[in-house]
Amino acid sequence: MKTVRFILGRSGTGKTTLCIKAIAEALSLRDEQPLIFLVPEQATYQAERAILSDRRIAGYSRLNVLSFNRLQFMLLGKNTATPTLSHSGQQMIIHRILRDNRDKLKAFAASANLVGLSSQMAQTVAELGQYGKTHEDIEGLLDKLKKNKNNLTALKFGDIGLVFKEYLRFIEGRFIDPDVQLSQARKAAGEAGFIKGAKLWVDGFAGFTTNELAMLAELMRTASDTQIALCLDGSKIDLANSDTGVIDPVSLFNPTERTYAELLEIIKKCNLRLTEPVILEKAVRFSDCEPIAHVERSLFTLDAPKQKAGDNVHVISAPNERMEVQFVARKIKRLVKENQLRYRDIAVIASDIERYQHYIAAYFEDYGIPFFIDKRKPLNQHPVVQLVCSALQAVIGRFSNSDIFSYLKSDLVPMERGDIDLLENYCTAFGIAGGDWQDGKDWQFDDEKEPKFNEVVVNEIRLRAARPLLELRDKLCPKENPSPMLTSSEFTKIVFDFLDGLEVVEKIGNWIEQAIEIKDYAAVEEHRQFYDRFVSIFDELVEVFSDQQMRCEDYVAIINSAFSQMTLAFIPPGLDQVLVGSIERSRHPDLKAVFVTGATQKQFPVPISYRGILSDDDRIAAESAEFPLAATMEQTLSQRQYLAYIAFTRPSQFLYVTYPSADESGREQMRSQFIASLEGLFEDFKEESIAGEQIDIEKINSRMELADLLCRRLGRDSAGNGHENGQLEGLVSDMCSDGQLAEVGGVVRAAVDYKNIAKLDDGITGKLFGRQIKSSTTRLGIFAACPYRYFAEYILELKERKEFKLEPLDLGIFYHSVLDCVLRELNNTKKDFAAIRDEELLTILWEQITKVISESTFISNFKRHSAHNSFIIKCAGEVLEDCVLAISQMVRTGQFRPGESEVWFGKAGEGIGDYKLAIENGRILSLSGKIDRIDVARVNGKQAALVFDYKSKGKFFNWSKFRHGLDMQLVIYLLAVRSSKKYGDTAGAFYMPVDGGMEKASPDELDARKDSFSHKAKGIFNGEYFDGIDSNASGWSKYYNLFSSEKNGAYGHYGTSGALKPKDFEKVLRLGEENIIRIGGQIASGKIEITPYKLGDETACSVCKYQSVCRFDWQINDYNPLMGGGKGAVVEIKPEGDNG
Amino acid sequence: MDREKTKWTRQQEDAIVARGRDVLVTASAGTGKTMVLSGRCVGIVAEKNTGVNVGNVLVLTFTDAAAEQMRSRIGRQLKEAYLETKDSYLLGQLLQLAGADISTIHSFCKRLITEYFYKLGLDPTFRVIDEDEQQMLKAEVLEKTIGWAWDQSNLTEGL
Repeated sequence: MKTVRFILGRSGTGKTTLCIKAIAEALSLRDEQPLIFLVPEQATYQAERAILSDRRIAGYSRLNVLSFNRLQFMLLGKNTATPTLSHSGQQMIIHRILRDNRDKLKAFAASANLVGLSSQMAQTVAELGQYGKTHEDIEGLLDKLKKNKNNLTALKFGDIGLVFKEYLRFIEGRFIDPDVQLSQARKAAGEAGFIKGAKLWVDGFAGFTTNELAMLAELMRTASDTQIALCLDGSKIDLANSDTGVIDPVSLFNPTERTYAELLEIIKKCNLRLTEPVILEKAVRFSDCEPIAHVERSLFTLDAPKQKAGDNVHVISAPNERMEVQFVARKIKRLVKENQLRYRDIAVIASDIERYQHYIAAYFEDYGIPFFIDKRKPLNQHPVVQLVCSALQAVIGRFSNSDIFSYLKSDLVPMERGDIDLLENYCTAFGIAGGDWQDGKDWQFDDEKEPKFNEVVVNEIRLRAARPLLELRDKLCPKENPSPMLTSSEFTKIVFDFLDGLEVVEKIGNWIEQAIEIKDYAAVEEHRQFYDRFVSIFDELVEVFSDQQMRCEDYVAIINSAFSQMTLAFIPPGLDQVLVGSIERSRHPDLKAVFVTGATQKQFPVPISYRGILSDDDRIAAESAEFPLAATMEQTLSQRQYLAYIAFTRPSQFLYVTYPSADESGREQMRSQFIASLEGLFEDFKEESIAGEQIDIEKINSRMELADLLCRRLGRDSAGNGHENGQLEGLVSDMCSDGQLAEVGGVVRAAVDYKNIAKLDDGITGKLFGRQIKSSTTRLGIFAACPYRYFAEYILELKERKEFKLEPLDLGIFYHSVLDCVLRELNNTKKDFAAIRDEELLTILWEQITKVISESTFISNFKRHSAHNSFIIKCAGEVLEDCVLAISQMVRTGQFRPGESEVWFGKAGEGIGDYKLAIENGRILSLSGKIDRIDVARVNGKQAALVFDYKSKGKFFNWSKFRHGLDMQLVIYLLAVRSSKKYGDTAGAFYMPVDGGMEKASPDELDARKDSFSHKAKGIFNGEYFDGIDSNASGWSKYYNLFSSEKNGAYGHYGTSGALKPKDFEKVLRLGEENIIRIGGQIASGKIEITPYKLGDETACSVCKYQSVCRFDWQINDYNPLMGGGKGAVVEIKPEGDNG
Repeated sequence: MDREKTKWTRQQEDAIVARGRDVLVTASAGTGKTMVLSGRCVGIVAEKNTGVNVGNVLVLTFTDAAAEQMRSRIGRQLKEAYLETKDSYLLGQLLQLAGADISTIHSFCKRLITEYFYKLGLDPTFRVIDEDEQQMLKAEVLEKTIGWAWDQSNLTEGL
């Protein structure tokens, strides 16, 4: 007679140990009876190890340690005629069914085409399978629901029923549904040799699905005797009760009590003989640890007595997840070092494994803790997926740059990285867009006169890069038929032809070989499994959609979804590792220490989710219509007590419950209510906080921590404690001479002593500079600002990537070109700026603007690119209009007339000749530059010249910056003009704004402001010429920073006007020369220090783009502090009688 | 653990025990509004004749933190009540509390949309974009719109 016996006991009473002992006992008998140990999937390995560790057992063959999965596999074998459907295949079928039956759907019609719906519908279909539902069952349910007028639920189940029916019809004879497999296996169980007459043990389950119960029933009927272990309090339940309805819903062991009742019902129905149960009462696991034994006994009981927690139970609050995991890692190291635990005695339980796995992997590796995370690894980051997805996306998405470069950078395209980078730089510089890739014309966007790229090379690279994509496009969406319908076989063939063309399979083969060579077996597995999985997705695609036709976009959406579900089977566990997993999966019976992490209200013991097609109301309605599916929300929540109890009673010695008080965005999190239940069991028990905990040198756990601490205490930026620092310094020296710690010591030494210094090696300077050094205003200014910046920009010549925008610099160049052309045209046609009429001037202006645009490829392209860009150019033209009118006004008010424009100095063969100065060591400094405009006049019989420099926006002469050499432009121009001796005396130099800018005014003020002048020129000039500059000024000039008064002539408001008395003017020019010689000398001496200037709040770094190169750090580098001063610091300003 | 019963003021008590109608509580800061709210919630749930259990109570707050604190507080008060009366019904409610609708308005709306996605023609696996994505999307849309506007002849002049 077949017998069944229950083994009942609370957590830690030794149920599993009992089973294993009995199995070992049975194995040691020399008979032939088959044995089966049925356990959850993740416990099979542990179970086998536990059995083998019994000294009597050398090995076994008549024992089968099985999970339901393995059992099913053994019963059905590998059936090649009808392939098993993967979950992504299931989803594809459901997707097709939803599309085909869209108009029949009553609830889900609106979402029928969306891929997300098919994935969730597939889950529901899977659930129906797991709970053994047939189509008739659903019909029955619908009848009952209609009586209760549960309309929404009825509509939903109506649709689900329809889909389910079509689904079963579709797979009939073609596929095996993975969830239905178990019920098919059941039919084979009755005849299986390894089950007939076997002894069966069942352990580790809290509950079973309908299919599993049916299988279990069959096993119990076929085996000779069965023992089932369940975690519950045998002394507190009615052992004869098989009615799940009367079980106390708030009983701690509710889930297992229900299971007991269900099994009892089955045993009765199958007429099996139930023998007296074994009731284990002593919690032997905790016999050496009273605190945890107390937890087990009293966790959810009322009025439990309080005890001491000792060192065995801790609740830790951490500021965030990262520090929580760091705490766990350090604690584990401590436990292993001081309490003689082995890694495999320790487990980490985390309900939100998704988030924690990254921190755990990082910290555990850092601390050298071997671990195993019980989770499948997603494969959708594999390069082949990136290649295929970005290529398809590029083709159907009109060839956007991001898709194309994503495709190119997948490392599976036969092109050099250097070529791809060059191509990308070109595309970024000229704003290449989708159409440009496809129109087949050669790219010629670069400036013809000063090209930055070798366009021949670029076009060649472009063709190579784009060819496979264009071919793909021609097949998937040819020009004649941009959105064709394809069958899945056609689609698949196109994709695989594409991959063949790129020799992807060979590449993967190479990667596998390389991985084998460096013994990276994990990578080998990954590549192999990936490719199999990848191919099978397309196999399923073809199978499921065989003759149907869909658009390319639809296929892409479907395979994207399938890719996102690809996972890698777990890497086989090692021997001595910390186990990381969720509560149910941590069923290792010999854990000494357990860390329950992330124990927040939301996540512990199990997170609550609302997703899924069936709402809780639906499930409740189904339940009351006797159509039980997976647990309702209420049932799930009731089970939380049990799960918390299980989590807290895993370890036999140490329990650490930790939680982060804030999530990754800093939002506060509440700890789980179960922690309060835990705390309530102990007297004087307080939660410990690790916020602000400084790791003391005595508590160091690893070399990394030691190095960290030393660097922080000894670093230049820490305040430090003199005496202690002395000791630490000594420690570092000792470390450097110690065999084992020398490496760490060296690292610390190098970090602490690090100085950020730049210096050229001896001998290089001579090679960099010859006898004559060429320079310019800009270069001198940059060197004065920061010698290192000069080095980076002019000696190393580091450049930023150019982007397709009209930068302020480009606009400036545009303005200069136009103004230059206008002046030349006027000179050529002998027209006078002062006499010409406004209309004529503007006509000439617009002619020149058109000319400049047509001659510049860059600007023409820019303008053509979009209407918006065109508008920008038009606005620039309007700015120039105002500017030339302003110039004519300025010219009319004085005696100077525009002479030449764009005048070079220091450039061989052009302009006014060289401007050279002798600097130290016998070297010569030659300055070059281009003066925008030189106006000439005859004043008081003397020839004189006035220098103008156009600036896009207004600029004034900055005395402090001039004094320190940061900006000597106007003075250098004056010196150059004077040195050329071509223009007589130098009268002065001015900055003139091209863009007058905008002013604010209220409508009433408009009339008064009509005559305001917005292009005021500012600079310095020799006061003797003031009348020639602005003959009409009275008080402040309208056009220049010039003040004219009866009393002081040109020298009123001396501190703020641009006027200089003749000897002051000479002084300024002399100071300029001295600066040039000084700075030039420093450049020639090879100085490249990182010493940016600091003038008040302004530093050189704010406009410097080389910060990532120099890595200036104010904590270890010094600024070059400069004093301000204004005009008074250069020339003497006497206090004046009237408003000085 | 102390089991001192919270002493309510008369007005607080009125707010807590009022039944059969809507109640508006106005009070300045620090006067215990949250305590009153959670107390009222627990009171209604504990009274079996109201037929209200924790699963059909909706509590809306302004921040996530406030929602979780509210849940925590209701939990504590339920536990107090349970320890006093030893009624296992209350223990059941305490367990169901974890799934109760106590959230911000946004979270509640998100839950509704998730549950009734099919009525809106939404993809059930939708995701709410975060602020950064929002900014980028807005910038992109603005650029595209300006480009589009230039192509509309009736708008170019205005532009």
